[in-house]
Amino acid sequence: MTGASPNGQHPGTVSGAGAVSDRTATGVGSRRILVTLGALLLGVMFAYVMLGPVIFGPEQVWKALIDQADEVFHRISVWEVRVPRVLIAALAGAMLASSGAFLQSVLRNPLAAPATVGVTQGAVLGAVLALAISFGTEGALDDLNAFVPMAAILGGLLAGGLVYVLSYRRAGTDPVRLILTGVIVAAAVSSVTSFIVLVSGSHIDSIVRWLVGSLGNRTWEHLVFLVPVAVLILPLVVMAVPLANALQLGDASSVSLGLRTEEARAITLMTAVVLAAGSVSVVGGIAFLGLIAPHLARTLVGSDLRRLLPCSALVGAIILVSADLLARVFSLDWIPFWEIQTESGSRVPVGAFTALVGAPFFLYLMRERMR
Amino acid sequence: MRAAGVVAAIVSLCALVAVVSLMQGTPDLSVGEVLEALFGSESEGNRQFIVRNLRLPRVVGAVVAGAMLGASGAVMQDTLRNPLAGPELIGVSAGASLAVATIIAFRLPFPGIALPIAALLAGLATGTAILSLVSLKSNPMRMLLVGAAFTALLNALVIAVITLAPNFGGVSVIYRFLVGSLSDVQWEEVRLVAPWTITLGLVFLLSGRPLNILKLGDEVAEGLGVGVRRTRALLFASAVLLVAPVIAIAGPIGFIALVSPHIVRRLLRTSDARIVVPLSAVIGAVLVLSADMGARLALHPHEIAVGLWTVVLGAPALLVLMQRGLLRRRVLS
Repeated sequence: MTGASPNGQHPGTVSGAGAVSDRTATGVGSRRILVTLGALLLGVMFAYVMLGPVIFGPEQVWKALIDQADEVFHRISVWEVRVPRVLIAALAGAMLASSGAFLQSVLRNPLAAPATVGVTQGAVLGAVLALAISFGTEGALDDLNAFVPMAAILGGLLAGGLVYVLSYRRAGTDPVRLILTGVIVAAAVSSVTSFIVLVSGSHIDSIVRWLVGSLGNRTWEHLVFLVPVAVLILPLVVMAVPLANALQLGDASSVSLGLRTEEARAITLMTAVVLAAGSVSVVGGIAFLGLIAPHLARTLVGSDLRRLLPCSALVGAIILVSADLLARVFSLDWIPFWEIQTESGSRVPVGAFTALVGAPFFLYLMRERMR
Repeated sequence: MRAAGVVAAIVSLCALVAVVSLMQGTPDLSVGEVLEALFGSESEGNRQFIVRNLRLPRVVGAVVAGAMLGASGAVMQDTLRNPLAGPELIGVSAGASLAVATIIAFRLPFPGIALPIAALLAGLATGTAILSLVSLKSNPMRMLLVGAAFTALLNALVIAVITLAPNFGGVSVIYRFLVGSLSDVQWEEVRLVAPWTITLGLVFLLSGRPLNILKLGDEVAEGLGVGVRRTRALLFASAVLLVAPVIAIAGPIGFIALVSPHIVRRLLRTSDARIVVPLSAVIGAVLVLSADMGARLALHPHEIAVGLWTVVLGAPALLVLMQRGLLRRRVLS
C-alpha cells in the first residue's frame, strides 16, 4: 500500500498553479483551528465537571482533581461520576465522528454515517446478543463485560459486510446502492435487536441506551472497555488515512494512481466499523453524531483526511460532551416548569439531544447536498 | 376467470386467518367454540367475553389497519409512479406518528377524536416536505434514500419526545410509536377509526380511473383532459388520509403498504388500479392479521410489537424490489 502515499497530496496539487503555497497556508490555518478546537473541548469538559446536581466552582473542581477536596463527596462526585463520564463522552464522540469521516470520504456520499450503512445497528445487535447470552437473566443488558466490545465489532463487521456483499456488483460497489442497502439492512437488524431486548425483559434505561444512545450510569468500568479499542485501532487509522484520501477522488482516479480500490476500500471501511462499534458497545447508538461532525469539520478544514480526521474527532467529542451536558442539566429537578421524574435513575438520554440538535442541521444538509 | 378465482381465494384466506386468530391465545378455542361465542346468544359468559371483548376488537383493528395500509400503498405507488413508494418509506408514517406521540406523551388537551386529524396533518406536512426535496422524475431510489433519512430523523425525535415527557411510559409505548403495535387496540380504538373507513370506500370507487390515467404519463394524461397536478395532489392526500387513522391507533406499521400492491400485481398479472387497489387492501389485511398473530404467539409470554415482524419480513422484500426496480430502469433508459 506504499503506492498510496503520494495520492494523499493529490487534492493539493489539483487545486491550481499556486498549490504549494496554498497548502502550507491551509496547513497553518487548520493547525490553528485544531488547537482552538482542542482548547474548546477542554473548556467544555471542565464545565461538564463543574455542573451537575451540585454545582462546583473551578477551585473546588481543581482541588477535587488533585485529591485535596474540602469534603469527601466532592471527590466522589468529581472522580467517580463526572470525570469518567466526560472522558467516555469525549472518546466515544471522537471515535464515532472519525468513523463517519472515513465513511463519508470513502463512500463519497454526504449522507453516509455509521448508522446509515448498518454498522451502528449491527454493533448494537452484537452487543445486545453478547449480553443476553452471557447473562440471560432479567435486566442484564445494563451491565458490560469484556465480550461486549468484541461482539459489537463482530456485529458491526457482519452487518457492514452484509451490506457490502448485497450491494456488490461486477463493476465494484456503487456508493448509492451501498448506502441504500445499508439503510434497509439497518432497519431489519434493529428489529432483531428489539426482539432480543423485549424477550430479555430488560429495563427501560438499557432499551433507550441501545436505541438512541445514552451515557447514563457510565463509569470507569465502562471506560476500561473503550480505551483498548481506541488504542488498538490507532495504527490502522493512521494507515487508512492515505487510502481514504485516494479513494475519495473516485474509483477512476484512484485506479489510475495505482491503487487497488476494492482492497483499499475494505481496509478503510473496516477501520470505520471498528471505530463505530467500539463506541457503540459502551454508549449505544448515538443518533446523528457520525453524520454531522464530519460535515462541520469539513467546512472548517476541507476534505483532506489528514486534517479532516483529527478535526472531526475533536468536533465529535465537543458535540457529545456538550449534548450530554445539556442532557444532564435537563435531567435535574430544579427546573421549576419541567417536571421530569427521574424514576429509578432514568435520565434523558444524550441521544435524544443529539437528535434534537441534529434535526435542523440535517434538514439543511439535505437541502444543500441533494440538489 | 383466473382473476375471479384468485380474488375468491384471497378473500377466503383473509376470513380464515381472522378465525384462526380468534382461536389462538389463552385459552385455545376450537372453531365451533369461536363461532358459538361470536354468534350464539346464550353462550358461556366467560368465553364469550374473551372472544368478543378481547380478541375480536384486535382482529377487527388488524383487518382495518391492514386494509387501509394496503390500499394506501397501491394509491401512492401509482400516484407517484414509483414502485418503491409507501407511506413508511417517504416519511409520512413517521411524521404522523411523531404528532400522535407528542399529543399522547405530553397529554396535550386534544380529544381522542382529534388524533387521526393531527396524524393526517403531520403526515401531509412531512410528505409534502419530502416531495418538495425530490422531484417526481428523479430516481425512485433517491426518493427512498431521502425518505429513509427523514424517517430516521423523525424516529429519533419520537424517542426524544417520549423520554422527555413527564410521564415516561413503558417499553410498549416506545415500540407503539416507533414501529407500530396493536396491543392497545380495544373497541374504543376501533370506534375511533371506524368512520375513517369511509375513505376506503371512496378510494375504491373513485381512484381507479385517475390512477390508470396517471400511469400513462403526464403528457398523455393532460391530453386526456386530466389536470395532472391537481389529481396527483388529491390522490396523494387521500393516500395519507388512509394511513393517518391507522397511525393514530396502532402506530406506523411498516412495509404492509409497500409490499401488498406488489403481491397483488404479481398474483393477478395486472397493474389495473381498479383491481389492484381493493385487492391490496385485502392482502394488507391478511398480512397484518398474520403478523399480529406472530406478535401475540411466537414468543409467548412476551408480546412483540407487530411492526417489528413486518419490518423483519418486509426489509428483504424491499431489497429484492430495489434490485429489480433498478434493473427495469436500466432497460427503460
